[in-house]
Amino acid sequence: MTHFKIIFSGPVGAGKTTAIAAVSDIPPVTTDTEPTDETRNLKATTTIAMDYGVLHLDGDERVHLYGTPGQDRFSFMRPILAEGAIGVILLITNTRPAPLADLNEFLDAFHTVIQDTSLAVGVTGMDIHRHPSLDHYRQTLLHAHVTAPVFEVDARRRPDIALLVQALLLNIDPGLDDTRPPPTTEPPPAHTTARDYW
Amino acid sequence: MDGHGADRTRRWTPNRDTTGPPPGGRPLPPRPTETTLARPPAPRPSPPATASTHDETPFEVPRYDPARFLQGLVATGWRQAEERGQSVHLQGPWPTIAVYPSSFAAVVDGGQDSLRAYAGQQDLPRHAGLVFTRAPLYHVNHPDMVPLDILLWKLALGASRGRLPLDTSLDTPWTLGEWPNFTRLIVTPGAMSIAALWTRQACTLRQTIHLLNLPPADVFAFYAAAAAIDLIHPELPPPPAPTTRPAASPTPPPLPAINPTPRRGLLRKVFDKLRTT
Ligand SMILES: Nc1nc2c(ncn2[C@@H]2O[C@H](COP(=O)(O)OP(=O)(O)O)[C@@H](O)[C@H]2O)c(=O)[nH]1
Ligand SMILES: [Mg+2]
Repeated sequence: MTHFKIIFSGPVGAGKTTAIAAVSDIPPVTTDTEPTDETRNLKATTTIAMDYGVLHLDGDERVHLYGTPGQDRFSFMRPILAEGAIGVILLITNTRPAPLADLNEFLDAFHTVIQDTSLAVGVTGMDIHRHPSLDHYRQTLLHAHVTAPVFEVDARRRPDIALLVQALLLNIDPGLDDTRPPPTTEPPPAHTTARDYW
Repeated sequence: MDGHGADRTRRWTPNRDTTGPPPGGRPLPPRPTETTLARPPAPRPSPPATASTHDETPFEVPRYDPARFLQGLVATGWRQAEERGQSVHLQGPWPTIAVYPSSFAAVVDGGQDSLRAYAGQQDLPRHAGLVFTRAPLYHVNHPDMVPLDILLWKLALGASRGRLPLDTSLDTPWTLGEWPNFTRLIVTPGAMSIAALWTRQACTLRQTIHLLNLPPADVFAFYAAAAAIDLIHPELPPPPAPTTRPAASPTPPPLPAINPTPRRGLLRKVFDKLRTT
């Protein structure tokens, strides 16, 4: 049986752990550890900060949620991680010094799996720094010849992360949400009343 | 690797011109078809015509004129203020709207949702007073500050109420230059599906209704909102044919098919689980 998964990636502090916690059905398992006195100076090179969560679906199916910082030295893990991937959620935070460079770095790191599957980009920390704007992110994606939804998100807000994942899925199959019965061939009602969308 | 290599939907070739200039700067609202101010009301739009999708299912095509609603007033005020390098206060029998083009923001007296009751009132802008000013009345970090695109999106939904803007063709192939920032906008029924389709390939309104099996009003409402913030563009015409021929009347492209992914069942379960409303 295939092990289906959604990959959450992005730099440290972008909100991966928080985002997985927001939608996972189990408390997320994370290897993030507080550095001890002995490892404080080594942390940057010794911790594999992986996160794990799961979405339980009916009929015993499940989708695994993996968070990975995607540092280069773990690149050997990427093909393993990509196995069964439904798509990639890239979280980029505006609170780091060069967010667009971060985006490019992660587009590069996940190039193959993004090409084979789907991508959605969530920009966090926009409540703290408005810049770069979503337009800047979109232009960066355009340069990389990638079409993907780009949303402003706060990883602490479940609706934001849920919507981002939904967009990732629709980017694979725009007809996914069609569960309505086929249209009838009856003529329309004589006067259709306008309805409120706001 | 267990990717979507066999997924035929991936092979849909988007007809967008990716070599064109990248989207830069702030979008200006589209020019309304007629000026909003100091004009007697235009005759009522003709009663809704009926149309049909390719499978001949008939549906009504109700219309509205954005220029006759607050949507048009804000778009006009925004453009005029931008041209003058000033901000503008839109005053009338509604909570005052201050528009700051340079900040791409507006401040609504009492908060943006206080406009909800007014957004659907036709010809309200006839009573508008526009006061241009160089000095912003509100502090830039005013708690009621709202990005202009979020406000215009709402005003367009309130004005459209499932109706299509005047003069919008059912048979023009449209594309969406980018995904709207849905986490900060009202997500109307079907909006994300339409965005996914239109960022991928050009599609007419008629095809969209048929392909996504959506109520026409949902498609029209999304069109109205996305057009209000200038996200929708007609598909670029193909380069002219080498031989001279009489100009053919535009024909809609053949109806594209949505090829469901082999994983649609699984993806749909995930999608449903993440529904927030
Ligand atoms: N202000 C703000 N904080 C956020 C946002 N998203 C996530 N955070 C916080 O950012 C911090 C880092 O998030 P974390 O999930 O640990 O990032 P990770 O390193 O990618 O796993 C946490 O304290 C989150 O609560 C956001 O949009 N705005
Ligand atoms: Mg983490």
